[in-house]
Amino acid sequence: MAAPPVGLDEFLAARSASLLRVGYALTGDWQRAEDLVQTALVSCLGRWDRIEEPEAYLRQVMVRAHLGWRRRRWSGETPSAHPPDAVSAGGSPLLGVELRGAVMAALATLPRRQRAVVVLRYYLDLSEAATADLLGVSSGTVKSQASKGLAALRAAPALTALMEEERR
Amino acid sequence: MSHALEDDGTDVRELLTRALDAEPPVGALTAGRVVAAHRSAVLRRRAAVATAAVVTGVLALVPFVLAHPDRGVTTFARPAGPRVVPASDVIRDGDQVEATGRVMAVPGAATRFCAPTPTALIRRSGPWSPEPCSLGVDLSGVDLQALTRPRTERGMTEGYATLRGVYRGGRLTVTSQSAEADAETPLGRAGQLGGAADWTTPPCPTPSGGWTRIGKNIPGTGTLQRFDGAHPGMLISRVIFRPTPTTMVQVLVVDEPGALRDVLLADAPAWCITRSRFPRAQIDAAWRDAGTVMSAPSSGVYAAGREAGADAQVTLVVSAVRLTDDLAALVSRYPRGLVRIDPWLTRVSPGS
Repeated sequence: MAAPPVGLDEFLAARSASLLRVGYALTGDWQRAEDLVQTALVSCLGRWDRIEEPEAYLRQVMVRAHLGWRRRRWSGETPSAHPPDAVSAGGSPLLGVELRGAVMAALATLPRRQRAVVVLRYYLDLSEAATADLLGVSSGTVKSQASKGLAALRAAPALTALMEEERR
Repeated sequence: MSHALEDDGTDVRELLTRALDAEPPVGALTAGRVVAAHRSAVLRRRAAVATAAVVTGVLALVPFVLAHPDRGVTTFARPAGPRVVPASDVIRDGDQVEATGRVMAVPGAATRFCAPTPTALIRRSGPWSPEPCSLGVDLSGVDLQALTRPRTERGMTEGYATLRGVYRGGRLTVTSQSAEADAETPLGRAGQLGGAADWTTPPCPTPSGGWTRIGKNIPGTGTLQRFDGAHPGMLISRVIFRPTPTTMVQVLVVDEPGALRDVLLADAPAWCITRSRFPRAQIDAAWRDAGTVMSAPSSGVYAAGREAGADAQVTLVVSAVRLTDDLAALVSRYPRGLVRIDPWLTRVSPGS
């Protein structure tokens, strides 16, 4: 493949940040998020012009890759738990950073598949049926995993404390 | 958070949205980098296809190891005895080897020939410079003017080539150089990472009612979950096959399919349960063993993972710069087919 497919650059310019956020939500690490996006892009590059909804398709590949593969990091770098990245828009910047750390720490306590269900259902707003189809499980499984995931997040001490502080 | 919050996850949805409402701390993706990464991936996949073809051929010669399919269960005879890796497979000083990959030359440092490690897609800010090349070999005798897709800026050069030469002490002395091998081949389906499996033919006969139509609930999922909960670690591999564009079947690879078959297939025949070619304990032991071998800085390993083949069976795949004594020993400690080394540098016969 000598030249990139038509439209890929434009797509990446518009949607790569969104895909990276999904990867970050799944992995809790921006570098691994990059890995996931790259893996997904590479795997569908040869048929890019035949993919009708590339973002949804790439998300699917990312999730399945994340659930199915365990790749040894080759750089030897150890990312910090909460990298000092950009703060959220609106609200207190400090609270935004703390909130992100607390949310990611709470997500990290979930089993990998349960975390994927939570991300798909509550970050990407996919329906139960769409989530089930993407993961290759039943809607009932999605429902139960989502319920357990919500309960675990709501019980996360750091998240609870932060939200209470924010309300004050 | 109080329990009075709604059960539809509104609160969690808001938290996730706010927490992730930030620009990723990385630069822009570029199509050019995707293409470069794609090329590396295809090369790795070609190696996997070749290995799979060899394994398939061996299996075809020993049909007696494939036992009878029965009620959706396929059994495999478990190979006995360790695989013997010929010492000649290990790349040693003085061997003639060949590989395709990235060449980079930076002033003040040795010219490098880089293994197809996963590379960052993200273009960092600042002036261009070649990606780091921690895994590869030093080069002597390469013609930087003859590289494919060359790029030169501020005295730094990067490009691609297929090189053949003599390996010695982590250095390749080039004896012949050709254009980068054409890496353009059709890619596999989504989710087929690192391997070339085409999951369309499940290792079970089609049930009388056919496989499950995509989009429908899968009968028996709850039963499987309960059984899995009561027998942790039972499932060794779980792969979704798509026999037709509109149907799917989950292939479950387990140690002992009998009990699961009795529980699951009685009410839900559209599952495929197959016996693992290798016991769970052996797979886990091999994975731990591989981790130990990989952790050595000199291992040259740049990727490892579990791969499900076209029959859903698990293989541990270790991608490395070259086959070393330690990696050969790792393969030898386990039955044939459990651990596969996917080396970048491959031996070539003198004069070939």
